[in-house]
Amino acid sequence: MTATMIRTDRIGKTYGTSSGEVVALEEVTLEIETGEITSLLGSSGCGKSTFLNVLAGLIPQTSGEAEVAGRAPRPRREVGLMFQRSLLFPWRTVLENVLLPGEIMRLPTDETRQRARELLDLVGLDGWDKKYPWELSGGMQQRVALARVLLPDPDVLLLDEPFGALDEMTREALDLELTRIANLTKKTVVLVTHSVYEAVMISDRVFVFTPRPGRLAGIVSVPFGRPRDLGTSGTPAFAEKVAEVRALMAGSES
Amino acid sequence: MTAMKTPEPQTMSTSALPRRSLRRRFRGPIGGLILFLLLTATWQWVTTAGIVHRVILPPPNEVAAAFFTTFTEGFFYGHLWITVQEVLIGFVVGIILGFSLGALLGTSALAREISYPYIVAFQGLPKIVLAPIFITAFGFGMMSKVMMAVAISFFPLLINTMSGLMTVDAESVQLMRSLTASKQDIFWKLSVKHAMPSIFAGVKTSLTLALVGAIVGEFVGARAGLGFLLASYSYQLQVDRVWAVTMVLALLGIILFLFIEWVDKKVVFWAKRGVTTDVGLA
Repeated sequence: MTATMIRTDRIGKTYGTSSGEVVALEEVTLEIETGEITSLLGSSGCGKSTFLNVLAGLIPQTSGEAEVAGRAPRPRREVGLMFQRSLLFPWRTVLENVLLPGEIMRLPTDETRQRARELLDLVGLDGWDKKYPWELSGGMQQRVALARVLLPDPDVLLLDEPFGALDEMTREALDLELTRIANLTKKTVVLVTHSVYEAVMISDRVFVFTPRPGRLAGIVSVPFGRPRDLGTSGTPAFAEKVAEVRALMAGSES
Repeated sequence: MTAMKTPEPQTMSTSALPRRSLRRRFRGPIGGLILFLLLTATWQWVTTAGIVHRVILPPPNEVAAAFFTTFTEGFFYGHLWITVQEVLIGFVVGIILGFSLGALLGTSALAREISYPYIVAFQGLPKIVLAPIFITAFGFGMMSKVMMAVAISFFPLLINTMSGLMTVDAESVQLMRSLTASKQDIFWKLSVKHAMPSIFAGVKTSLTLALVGAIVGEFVGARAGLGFLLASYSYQLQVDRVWAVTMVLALLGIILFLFIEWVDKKVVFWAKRGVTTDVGLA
């Protein structure tokens, strides 16, 4: 039995600029099931980040309807957002950074503290709680950001190229880490990326976006089981999926 | 739960300093001492050789003697205490005023638009011209000096608070919003913290200027305080005493500054470590 976690109906976003109106997003209709791991894939300017921010309730759409975890999008505890930059605060220790959502949402202190320590353990940063962000590598900073977004136990994780600025090896490791944690904690994940490989590697379904105007070109199901490992990417079936996604991206770019 | 492999947290190793870095560490203080001796010798020479008249600059030994005599005289401490109070009260009121107005202007575009011409005008104004007006308005006592200290010291903090608040990273604000943060949360947990290094740079300037404000006020019209004492000695042509009080004021300024610097290092401990934690830059 599955339930729909995210549903959008002809979402559009138009920006007014000095040189006229720019259509960032046109009639995006999709549904994402509870517990599904999905990617929004496309080149830059295809509106995938705009779409994610609409789902996060940070920017309002100009047309259409959206529903995330049963409500119109707005910032709330059930929805967590992660960025390409870790955005850790340098005046806070690792633990204090993870605790930030708890302070803002006025979650009970002792339980939240306990949970923050467990999450640091989960992302592999046991023993780093008293360090400051500048003492950590880029990959470790993103792990802290991951622990922070998980603190309020959201149902939905909206991830805006969270590992896009990291080197490839670290990114692959963190992708697998992310799917492992998402599996374990039964999160619904929407990941924005411009890497075909990354999208196919982690997703149950890939939403392919194309630019000018940003629109949904097609959906590719990736029927590999979870958890996946680096071996998955070596199979012929994987290569076929990558080719299928590539074709979809190229086909609608004329 | 299977946690991922990560490197162990490291602690800074404090290995014995090699000889080279020892020399490096002491070259500043030793050089400073040599410069001090050179300057004092030059001072001695220009005064005894008659190049500078002793009514303008007495020899260093006489100034040193006057400096120590000053500290043996009971009335000196009364004057010192008056000035210290004026500076500290003026400084505290100045930073409260400067921070509050800076916070208002840093967070409200409307407030900035309305007050911009006034800010420019006030910035251009040499604030010491307010001294005679303040003496007339608030009298010859401490109040007028406190007001001078406030007027002259609040402005750098206002500017630094405002500009610090305005450089808050937009994406960090988005993060706070996604965490359901209120405007107050964003202000106190993000913006003010982000602006802290800038605010403290302003606080340092404000403190030095508070001293300037109090002394200028005392010059223009006062019955007590180090500025009053300095002016009195000047009228009496007790030049060694004038220099002695000048040195006391310098010392006071240095002590206050070092105190703020110490607080700065405690409060804004992260600033020297690179404010950004951006991936790729860290």
